[in-house]
Amino acid sequence: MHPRNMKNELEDFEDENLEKLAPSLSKIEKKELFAAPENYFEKLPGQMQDKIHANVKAPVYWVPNYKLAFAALSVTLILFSGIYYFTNNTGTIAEPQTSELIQNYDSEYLSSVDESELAEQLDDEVLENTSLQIEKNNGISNEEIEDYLLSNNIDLTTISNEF
Amino acid sequence: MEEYSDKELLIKFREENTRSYAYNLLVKKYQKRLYTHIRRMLIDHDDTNDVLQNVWIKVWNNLLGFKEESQLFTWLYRIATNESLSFLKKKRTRFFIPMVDVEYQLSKSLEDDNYFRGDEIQLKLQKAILTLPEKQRLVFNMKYYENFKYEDMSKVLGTSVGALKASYHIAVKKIEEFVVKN
Repeated sequence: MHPRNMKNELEDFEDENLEKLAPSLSKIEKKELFAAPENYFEKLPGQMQDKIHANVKAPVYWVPNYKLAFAALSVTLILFSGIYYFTNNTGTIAEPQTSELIQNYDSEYLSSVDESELAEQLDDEVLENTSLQIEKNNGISNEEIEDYLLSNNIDLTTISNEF
Repeated sequence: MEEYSDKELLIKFREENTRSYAYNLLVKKYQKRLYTHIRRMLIDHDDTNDVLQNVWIKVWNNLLGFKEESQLFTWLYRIATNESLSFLKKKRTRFFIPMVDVEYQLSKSLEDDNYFRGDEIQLKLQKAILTLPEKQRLVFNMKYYENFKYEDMSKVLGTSVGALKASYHIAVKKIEEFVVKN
């Protein structure tokens, strides 16, 4: 159809032209098809008065929001699987790091400490315990060691220089 | 009972001591027309009742701000139309239902509707109307059943008169085709 003819047809198109354009439709009787339940229109004005005076909020068209529920479920799953993963893998990841740190710390710390400082830190009690421990473990007393050294003419200064 | 004009109802509504009374008269005056307008779009009575009550609450909340730049009845129809379209949109998006399926559901509920008063040919016509896109369906119903003037429809739907005429013309042709084929 030419646009100008189309325009004319639209300009003129009203119900009286319906028979030409839609003969089947024009034969169908026009009537009110949708009824409301009995007394619906008698009750509605009163119901509305009750609602506005009770300051009731507008009815919410509540239908389950499946999109939102799905998104919330996905986020929860990701969150929990993340927590589960990191919780269960903490030991294997952290352990070597920790022991390595300790080793490094020991070697670094000990290398920075002077021997004389270290000796000062050891009190008499520690030394005594240590010598007692040696005696206990080997069954040789300090006196026996001294006797041995004297009987073999070994100089104590030589030993102290050698060790 | 004397029926007040829209102008008189608005004056009474603006007075605090007659506001409730005016509102009651307004509901009584327009409830059937708005109910039918919404029902033709939503088909189901319960859905229509929910939307209609929401419309009347919005009217109560906003009528004091109505500037009378348009007629009261076009303003009421505009609220009812927007609420109906919004309801259909929510129904579609919340159930992941494509547009065609919503119209199919409406068509099925029409067959089971106890309050539908039509015969077989009327049912066929309603099914034909439900094959139209939402806006075209509105245009067809408002022109064919409610005898709206294109100028008033233009104010309700926010569409030019020319576009409305074209839309109605196309809708009539589609419906005729459906009725003949089925």
